[in-house]
Amino acid sequence: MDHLLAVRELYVGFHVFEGDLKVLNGVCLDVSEGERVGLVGETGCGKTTTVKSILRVLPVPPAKITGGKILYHGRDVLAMKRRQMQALRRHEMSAIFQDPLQSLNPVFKIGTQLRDIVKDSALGGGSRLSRREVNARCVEALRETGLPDPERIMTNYPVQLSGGMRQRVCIAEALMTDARLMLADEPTTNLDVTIQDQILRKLDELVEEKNASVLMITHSMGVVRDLTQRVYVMYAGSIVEVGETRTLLAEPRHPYTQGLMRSVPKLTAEGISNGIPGRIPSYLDPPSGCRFHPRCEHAMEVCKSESPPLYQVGEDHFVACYLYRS
Amino acid sequence: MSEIILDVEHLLQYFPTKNGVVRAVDDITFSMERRDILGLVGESGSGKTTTAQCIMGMYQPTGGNILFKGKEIGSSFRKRSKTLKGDLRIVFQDPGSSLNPKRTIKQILSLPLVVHGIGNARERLSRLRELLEMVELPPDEYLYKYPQSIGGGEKQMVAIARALATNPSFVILDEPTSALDVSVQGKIINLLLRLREKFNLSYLFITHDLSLMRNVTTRIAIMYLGKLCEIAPTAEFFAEPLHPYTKMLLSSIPVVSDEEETLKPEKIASTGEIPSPVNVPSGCSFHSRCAQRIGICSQVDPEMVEMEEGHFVRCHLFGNSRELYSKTREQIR
Amino acid sequence: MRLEQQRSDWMATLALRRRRLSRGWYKFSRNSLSVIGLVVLGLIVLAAILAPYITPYPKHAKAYTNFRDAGKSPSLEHFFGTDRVGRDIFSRVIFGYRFSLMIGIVVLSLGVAPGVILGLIAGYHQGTWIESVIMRITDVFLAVPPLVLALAITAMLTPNLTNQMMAIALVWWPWYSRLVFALASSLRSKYFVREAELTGTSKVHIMFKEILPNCLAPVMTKMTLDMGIVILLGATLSFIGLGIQPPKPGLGTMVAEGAKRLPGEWWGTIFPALAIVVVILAFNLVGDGLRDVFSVEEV
Repeated sequence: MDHLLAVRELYVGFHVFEGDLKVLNGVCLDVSEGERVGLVGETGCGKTTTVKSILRVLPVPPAKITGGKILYHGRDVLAMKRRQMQALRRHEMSAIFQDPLQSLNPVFKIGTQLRDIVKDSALGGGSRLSRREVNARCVEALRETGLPDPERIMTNYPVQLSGGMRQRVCIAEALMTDARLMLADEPTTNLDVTIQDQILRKLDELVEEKNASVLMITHSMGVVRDLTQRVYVMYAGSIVEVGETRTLLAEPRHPYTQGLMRSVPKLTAEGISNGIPGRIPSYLDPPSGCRFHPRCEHAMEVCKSESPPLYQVGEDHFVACYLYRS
Repeated sequence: MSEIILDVEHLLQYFPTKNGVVRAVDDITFSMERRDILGLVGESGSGKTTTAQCIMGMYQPTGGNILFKGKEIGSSFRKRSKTLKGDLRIVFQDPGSSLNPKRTIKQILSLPLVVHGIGNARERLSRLRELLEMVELPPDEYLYKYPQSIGGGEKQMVAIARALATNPSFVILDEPTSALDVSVQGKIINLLLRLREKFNLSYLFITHDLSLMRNVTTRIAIMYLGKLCEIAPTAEFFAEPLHPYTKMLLSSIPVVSDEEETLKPEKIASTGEIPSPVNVPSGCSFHSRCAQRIGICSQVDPEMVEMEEGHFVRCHLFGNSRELYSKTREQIR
Repeated sequence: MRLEQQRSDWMATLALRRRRLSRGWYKFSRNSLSVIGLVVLGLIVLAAILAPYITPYPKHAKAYTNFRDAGKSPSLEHFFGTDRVGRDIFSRVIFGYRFSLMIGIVVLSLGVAPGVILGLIAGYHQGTWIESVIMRITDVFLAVPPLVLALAITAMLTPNLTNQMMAIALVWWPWYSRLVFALASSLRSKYFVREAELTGTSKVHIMFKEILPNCLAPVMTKMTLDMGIVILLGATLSFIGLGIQPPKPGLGTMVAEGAKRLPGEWWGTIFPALAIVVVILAFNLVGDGLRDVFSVEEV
């Protein structure tokens, strides 16, 4: 099956004072056309590194891509020349990051930034549009995200807007180019709950309309449940579980996912679990085999020697754990 | 009936700015008993952080009273006694900046002990070890580390140890786990609960994570634009929310199971942006976003009424206002 | 038992310091230019300290004339040639480095400490009259171009090395005041400072033990880069005749003397001038490296 995005056995390392960090440990994930996929994991598990690798915005020293392929529409992104990659970033992929203040240039008006994107993109011929048409498209994009009074927002500077409004501007920027793949890295983590709700809802709507694909990175299981159809669970640079979202959340199979789901506070008032014992491993000297084995209560001999492959446990549910070997 | 440890009465905290007066805290009244864990929830501009800051003495309140253990403390921290400073402590939100990156854990934890004159150098060293053991961090490993070489969860545990160094009776926890992963959060929360049992502590727990609150607090107070909307014991807050804002907030929580979905109130789609605290809408400050507003809401600010024991709400739909409302409608007719 | 604890306490602290130093060196050494700068600087400092012992003609650094050897071009006997009264320029340059380094050290010692302390106090008291007073005084000093002010002061007093150093120090402190003010006022709102305040820590402790350590990195980097500029300023004053007076071998003084013989006896000016360039460059490269050392790596 030809996926829109297919990451295959990605290995990424970083070189620091103490030595070499082996961060990504053979990450495989795919996103199909029109699909909404989540990537969950905790701090330091490598989700942002994965996204940056896809966009190829990793600072190449100290980072090093030591293996694997990233296929977009079948073409290896890692092998592309700069110009091809730029074209990909401009026209095919879009990204929303956690802190809109960092994504928006504080010294330019919103209008200027949006117009730049339109002129640059493949949207209806880009630079051949008249100024009025470019403006109209920008206003339209802002209006679609639910911002009131988009004409006035075009004349504002980013600091004049609230956090939620800024993030909506970023969403407008991302969707304006008719990109096929949107990479969203914790887009609503810094926002208030009611605003987060509005924005995610709107994002859902817009993505649905354009039939775009989304790779949503977050540490919130609740957000993943509301917004994605499939989800990957990542731990210490490896994918440990993947499957249809609701099924996976309702019946997590990997011990890490189970620990995670237990730790999430619930409205059913079951109390707070003590979390998962141990710490995330150091990437300098990561555990051999399955990287979770030092913290796993079901660890077996084989877990220490080799990294487990994905075993199927349901119709659309795979776990990288030797417990499910048969 | 336990003793009242904190009594906040008609607290006002206004900040004059060039755009107008920011009414960060606008007449709030609540009290806490010993061993209470009061959850304070609200979004940007709600005033929850400012309230905590007033209690800590970071500002001189513009008006109202704050009584701690019966004594008025509403004043800047510079004017407070050292005993009070040791008795009322705070754990800040961002572990990254609440520990001085240029000081070792040992130096960080020694500071409150030195300032409060607790023991001599040798006694302090053993007290430090005691504190670290209390938060389950092996002293030999952690005393000589710098904050950057320990994880966020551990930093927060050091911050908690620091808060408890002076044997306080009341600790304000300002989003203690917001910056942490969920697998670490549990450890910290359980630690806080155990310490509360052991040392008879009372907590003012500020967070935006309502699911967390459901499992930790004994009572919850919700604020919007500087005013209290509703206060209730935790279970009731979630089971029978009264204020429309409460319902809006509760229905926006992302949950992880179908079971929890059923526990949420009926979906009230949140609309509109949160107004700036400089431009507070007239009447009830929430009326511009309220799906259930009635005529009087844009003109008169409602009063806080007690609907059931311990369950207070400030909304024209409830209590005396309702009668006032029906009377007004009668007159119009 | 307690003694054991104290000893292990002390050893652990030492181990910590050692680790930090080696990490610092790693960051510094990644830039080969900085290492070159450090080596060159080290050689210069060593040469300056050992000047009387390693230079071929140490006596030439004082009043000495030998018109028979005057005006000789660079050779194996006189690496940099001789000046118009017969003194060996190479030896004088090495002795000249003594003055340059001394100027740098003294000026920075005199100027940095008051500047840092004033900036610290002003930054911590931002928004009060203390800040206003301190920073307005700083602004006044900053408003006058350094060279002009130094010139004015030296011209009023007798031109000599001591006065020259005092003049430059007087001109230098405001930059540190402003730097530390900016750092301190932004650090003031950090949680760890608030926490210390709320605990009841004295202001002095907060300023010097909590805020100051966080300001040291930019200050030290600036000091290293400033050494070069101070040396240049000193050389400039000497060049104009307001600093080190002949027959003392100040580098700037030597450049001035040799300039009269250009372009014929070029070695009289060029070598001292090059010496100035080399020492400034070395300080700049080391300063760059220091900046790397203090930068926080994000992975």
